[in-house]
This record gives sequence, structure tokens and C-alpha cells, in this order.
Amino acid sequence: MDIFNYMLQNSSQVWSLLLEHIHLTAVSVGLAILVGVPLGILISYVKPLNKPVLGFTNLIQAVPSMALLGFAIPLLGIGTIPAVGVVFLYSLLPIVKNTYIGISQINPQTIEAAKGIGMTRAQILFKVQLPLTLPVLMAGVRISAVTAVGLMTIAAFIGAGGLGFLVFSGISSVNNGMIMAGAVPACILALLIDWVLSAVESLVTPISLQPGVLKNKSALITSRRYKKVIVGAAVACLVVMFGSAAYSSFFKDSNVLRIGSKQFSEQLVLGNMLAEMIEKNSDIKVEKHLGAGGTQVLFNAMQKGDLDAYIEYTGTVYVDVLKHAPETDAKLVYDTGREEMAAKYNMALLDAAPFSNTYTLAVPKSVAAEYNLSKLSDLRRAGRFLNAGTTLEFLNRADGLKGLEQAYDFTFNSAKGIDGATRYVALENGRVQIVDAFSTDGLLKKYDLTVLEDDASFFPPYYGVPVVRQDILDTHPELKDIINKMTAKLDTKTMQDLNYQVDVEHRDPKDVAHDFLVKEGLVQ
Amino acid sequence: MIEFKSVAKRYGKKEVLHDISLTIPEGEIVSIIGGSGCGKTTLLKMINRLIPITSGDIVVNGTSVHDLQPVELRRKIGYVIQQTGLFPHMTIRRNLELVMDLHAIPKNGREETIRNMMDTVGLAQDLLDRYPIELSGGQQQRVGVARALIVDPEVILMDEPFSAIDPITRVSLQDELRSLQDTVKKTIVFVTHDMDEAIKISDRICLLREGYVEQYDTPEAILRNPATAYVESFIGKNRIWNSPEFIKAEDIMIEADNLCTPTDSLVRCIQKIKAMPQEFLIVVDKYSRKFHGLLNARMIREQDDLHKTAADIMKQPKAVAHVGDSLPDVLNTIRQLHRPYMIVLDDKECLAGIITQSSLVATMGSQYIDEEEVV
Repeated sequence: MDIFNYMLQNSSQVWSLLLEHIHLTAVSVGLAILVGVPLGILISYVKPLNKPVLGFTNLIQAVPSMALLGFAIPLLGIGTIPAVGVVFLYSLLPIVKNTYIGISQINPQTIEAAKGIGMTRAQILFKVQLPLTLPVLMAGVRISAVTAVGLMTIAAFIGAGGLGFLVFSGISSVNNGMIMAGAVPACILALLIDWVLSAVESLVTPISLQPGVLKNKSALITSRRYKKVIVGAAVACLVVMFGSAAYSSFFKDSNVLRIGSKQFSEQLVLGNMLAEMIEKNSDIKVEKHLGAGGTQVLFNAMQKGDLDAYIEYTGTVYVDVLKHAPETDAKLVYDTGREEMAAKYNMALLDAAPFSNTYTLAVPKSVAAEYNLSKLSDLRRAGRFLNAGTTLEFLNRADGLKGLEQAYDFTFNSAKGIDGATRYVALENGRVQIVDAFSTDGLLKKYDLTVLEDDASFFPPYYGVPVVRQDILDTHPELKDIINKMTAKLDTKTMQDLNYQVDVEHRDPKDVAHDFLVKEGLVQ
Repeated sequence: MIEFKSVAKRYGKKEVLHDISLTIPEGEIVSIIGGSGCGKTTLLKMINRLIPITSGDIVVNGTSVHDLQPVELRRKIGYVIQQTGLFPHMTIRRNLELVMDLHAIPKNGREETIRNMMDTVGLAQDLLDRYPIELSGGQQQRVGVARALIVDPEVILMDEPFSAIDPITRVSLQDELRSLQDTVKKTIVFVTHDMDEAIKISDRICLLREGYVEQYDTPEAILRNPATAYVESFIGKNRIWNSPEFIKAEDIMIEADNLCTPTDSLVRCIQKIKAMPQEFLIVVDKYSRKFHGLLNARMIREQDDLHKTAADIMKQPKAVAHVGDSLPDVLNTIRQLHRPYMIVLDDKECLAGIITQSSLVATMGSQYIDEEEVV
């Protein structure tokens, strides 16, 4: 079974993603409880508010989760914050609604008796209303929490991490074991949370209000004892998790170098490679934060000093970080990037690697032969015979397919948006004949595709380039040579091969990186 | 003592209680009764300001309810509603303790107070650790009363507390409330829609109709002298038969015409007896009708000298009834006397009337025959 192999080989990754998943879910649902319960109480007191508030939370629920994530990006960027934000919003409805329903369903005579014996509003709320509402409220929390586990999987789409990272990475690299290694623990986690919370729900239900109390009170009392143990254990787990996370973040070792990476295979290989290279060739200790998030997350972490180095791409530095318009001149992009990063952010760009992970178009060997294709300019003659399948992003970007067709003066017979690795499946089926790809994608090797050369330099350059905080370089000047020695060996073919080993052969990125370094004689 | 001073209640433009003024004396149980929507519960809840007063004032033991914060006011006043008023998530002990918490009663000594209170309301101590749902309706209601009494308030409000209880338990709860009241002597305002209940437990009844006080008096006065046709129809024409102690000798006596004076001669007496259906004569003064004694035909026949007067041979009856004696007493006496009749005197010992077997049958039978006007 793929899943067991994958989980065995990557147990530490799966485990840390699982912890991250629990962490994110707990934070989101915790926030939702902190906001939702008071909101539910508020609308049960101020009746005119209940329609607008419930309407709003209902509306959020009605927005597809993907779309909500989409809305969150311009407001909150990407990474964990928007993910927590979105899951929080989704979790709100069941909690607000159940709190409101729970309070409204209390027998009005009970409340009147409470008032009549002279309890204050606060006493009525805390001694009568909340205890009687808790069972319904907890049912809402339970729904929220289970939904949140599922939703958090999708949030990996915007770089939140968690188990969804495995699912999305698995889909994009056609690795079923990886998909399952994300999906199965997520399911089990959801069931487990449901189970624990059902125990909480029955514990917070006053024993007198539980079904069957008149017949079987002592059995109920015994089963409550077991449930207390379950819930206690669950709480203890959470405390240990959060405690250790807080501990390790509080006592950050200042003498270690923290290396980050984005979430896809190439970045994981590069991150591991960078880490091992430094560790083996210097006496600097390295801490790895691989797959930490997208550009925004990593760059912010660098600025805050949570990360010290990672491998970025020249085009990304130029456009996404420094906010310049896309540019095709590789030298200009690199030089501007190096100068401005140093000046504005006090970060150094080391030598760019010879590989470029840019957009390209690829065709199967048979198609290349049939139409005699090797360069993009060949499409001027052959383009009208071909059906293209491209990622939605490539299809819609001005500097994607549209710009390409203009620059090379051709049009495809048809162009469909197909996301992820399914493009390759369509290619195999013959539904499409040409796809967009990243030039270092290991799947290019797997499907034995011919990459068409960008002979008019239409695509911006995306050369791999190590970014290091200047203050680190100042204390460890030797780093520069060590890293440059490594990056010099990474050309596009090599990178494709390394990615192939990870994506297609399902090897651990760490082993792939190690083998490469050994083979090149960079480490012993 | 609770005084209502021109109390009115309006919801928007609709006035539901109109200018109510009445005084509830200290230590009495006063029932507020009336049809649904008459404002009885509103009137009750204005006392502890669960419902705000639109105009007028309510003064509880000398202090206007407006002079206290509502929470403070309510803590001084016991409040009992149907058994649903207990907190379902708390044991009986917690339900009782909660009120003591509100009054900041020190922890030590509480247990004893609680145990005594359980005894007072007739509940077993082992119920303390049960939840309300585990108790019968009657037991729950007793807890409700205990909860109101435990902090010893001078005034207790009860809002239809027994209305959801089965009839047999209800009757015993009413009996217990009445006997409990004889020891605790609280001022109790009791809302009910059940006239039997009101008559049974109350010192006074306040009958409301559409926001007006229709009659405010003792149960007996209301039964005997309904102030309006509405009161009469509300209590029901023959309601009094449910409370025979309120039926007095004067209500069932008939006028006596077999009379003679002390100075009448026996000859005259014989003539009178012959003309009467009765076998006896009542000896009274001619004008004051002061009662002297009885004589019958056999007593005259035993006399040789018919020139004697009635006063010479008359005898005192073994017992007489007075106008205020109740029906059960009268029946009891008649049964012991083995006499078919009984003399009824007023408070000046003058003849008021006579109760005979036939008058009894006629009176008591009338409750089954609508046309007869009896009481």
C-alpha cells in the first residue's frame, strides 16, 4: 500500500503536519467559541440583532469554502492567518446558532423563577442559562470542530500547512500514497475529535437532563467517569502540544541557522540540500522549517528573524517581493533584486543557480516528432493543430497564454483550463497535445515530454537564488562560498531529475538531497 | 402588610389593571382569583416588580417597592411558581442553597436549616441529593415552598403553585399550606383560578374581573353575599354546598307559627295544637318573641287542671340552635337529640325560626333542583 510506505518513510513529516493541523483547527475553533458564544448570548438578549447576525453567519456558510479562501487572500494574504480566519468564520454559525437556540429553548418559567428569587442578570446567565445551554452549545462546537478539520485540509491551498499540504502536494505530483497520507489521518482526526467532543457534550449535560436518568442513574454516573478520563486525556494532549510549541518558540536557540522552504517537492529538496550542505561544511547548527508556506510567509518570517535563509526564485523576488512589473531580462532581474533586497530589507541574494523554474510548454515526444517541434517559435506553424491543456492561472494571466500567443503570433486550436497533474493525464489520453509546465517539473521526465525552448525569451526568468539575512552572513561569512558551491551544480536537467525522484519515485526529499550532495562530492 | 395604592397597568394604550387599591393584612393568605386575562398574575408580579407598575404605588411593610432595586426587593419576597420553577440542573440541596447564597447566609448552620425546612414541608432528607426530575409533582412543589421559606421572608408570592398537580395531592398540599401558615404566619398572596382552592386556603379573596376588583372580602362573605351578578356566577349558585360550614341555621330554618305565650291557658293551647300540623307549641313573649320553652299535646293531656298556663308546664329543650350555627353542627345536634325539629334563636335568645326534617330536606334538596331559590 502506497499510504503505508509513504507514512513510514515520512513519518516525521506526517506527524508534524498532523500536529500543525490540530493546532490550526484548535486555534480556529477556539476563536470561534470565544466570539460565537458571547455573540449567541447577545442576540438572545437583543432580539433585533438575531436576524442580521444569523443571516450573516448563514451567508458565510453559503459561500463555497474555496471562494471564501479566495476572498481572504487580498485581505489577509496567504498562510496560516487567512486559513485560521476562514475556518473561524465557518465555525461561527453552528456555535452562534446553537448558543442562541440553547438559550431560547430554556423553559421561561425557570428564568422567571430565577428572577423571582432575586438573581441578578449575570447570576441568571452563569448559574442557570449557560449550564442549561451547554449541551446544545457543545453540539454546535462539535459540528464546528469536525467541519473545521475538513476545512483546514482545503486551507493548505493557500499555504496554511496541515494535512491538506499532503493532499494538495499529492494531487500535484500524482502521488496517491501522499494524498492518502494526508486524507486518512484527517478523517481519523475528525472522527476522534467528534468522539472526544461527544464525551464533553454528555459531560456538560447535567446528569438530571440526560435521557434515562430515572432508570439508570448509577450506570450514567459510571459512564461519566470514563468520559472524564477521555476528555482529560484529550485536554492533556492539547496542553502538551501547545506547551511544547510555546516552549520551543520561546526558547529559540539563537546560535542556529533556520532554513525555510516552500511546500512543493523542489523546494523541499533544495531546503534539505541547503541544510545538509551548511551543517556538513561548517560548525553552524541548522534548524529546518521546510514547507513553511509560500513566498509571503517565508519573506515575512525572514523579516521578523524567524527564518535566516531559503531558496527563492529571481522572478519572484523581482515581481512578488519588490513589486516590479514582470521583466524578461535575466541579468536585470537578478541585479535589481540583489541591490534592492540589500538596501530595503538587509537580505543578501547569493549567486543564482543555473536552473530556472519558469513556465514552459511541453509536448509528448510523438507530437514533437509529428509537428517537428523544438522551440516555441515552431508553434507559429503548428499551433493551430494543437489542443492545449493549461493550468487556470496560465490560461488567464496576461503574461500567460494570451501574451505567449501574441508574442509568438499563433493560436491553438483550443485551450482548456485543467489544473494540477490531471493535465498530464489528459495528455496521455490524447485529449490535449500540449501543456504548460514548470521547467524543472519531475513529471516532465516521468511522462517523457519535450520542453519547447523559449527562443524569444518571453517568460520571465525564475532562477533559483538563495536569500540569506545579511546579519547572518556578517557573523558567518564562510556561508557564502559554501552555498554558492552547491547552487552552481544545479542546472535545469539536474533539478528535473531530483524532482522526478521525489514526485515520481516517491523518495524522501532529504535522501534525494543527500545523495545528490554525495554524488557531487559536496559532502562526505 | 401589602398596600396597593391606585395601581394601574397599561400595555401601550390598553389598560389591563384599573386603579386598584387594596390592603393585604399582615399574616393573612389572600387569594387573587378571576377568569383568564383578568390581570391576577400581573397584579401579583407587580409586587416584586417582575412586571413594572405603570402608575400608583405598592407598599410592602411600609416601604414602597420603588425604593428598592428590583433584585434587592425580590430577595426580600419569597416567590413560588409551578414545579417547573426549580432549576432542573441542580439537586434539591443546590436549589435550596442557591437562595441562601443570594442572601449570603454563612455556610455553617446551613445544613441544619435545610434539614429543618425539609421537615417543615414534609419531605424526607434523602431527597436532598436528588434532582427535581426524580421527584413527584407534589414533592417538587413542596421543594418550591421550602425554597421560598428557607430565607424566612415576611411576604411570599405564589403564582398558581398547585395548578399542575393531580387533584388528590393538590388537596393535601392545600391542607398543608393552611396548617403551615398557622405556624409561620406569613403574608401570602396566592394567585389561583380555582375557587375551591381559594375558599379553602384564604383568609380573604380578591376577585378580579377585567382589571377591576369585583369583590374583596372573606370567603364566607363572598359566598353568602356576592357583591355582583358576576361574582355570583363566578362562584356558581350552589358553590356554598361545597363549604357546608358556611351554611348557617338561619339559612335553613323556616318561620314558626305554632306559638303560644307563657300566659295562654292550657285550653287555649289545646285548641292551637289541634289547628296546627305540629304536635307542639313554642312558648314565646308575644311581642319580643323571647323564647321560654316548649310544650306538646301529651304534656297537656297529662294535666288535670286545664286552668294552668303554658308557663306552668312547659319544658326547656335539651338543645337549641342559634342563627349563626353551621349546618354540620345543626345536623349533628338533631341526630343526637332524636328530635324531628330544632328551635333556632337569635343572639337575644328570641325565636328566629325552626328547623324541621321537612325544611332540611327541602333546603338540602334544592342544590339538585335549579328552580328553587334557597340560600
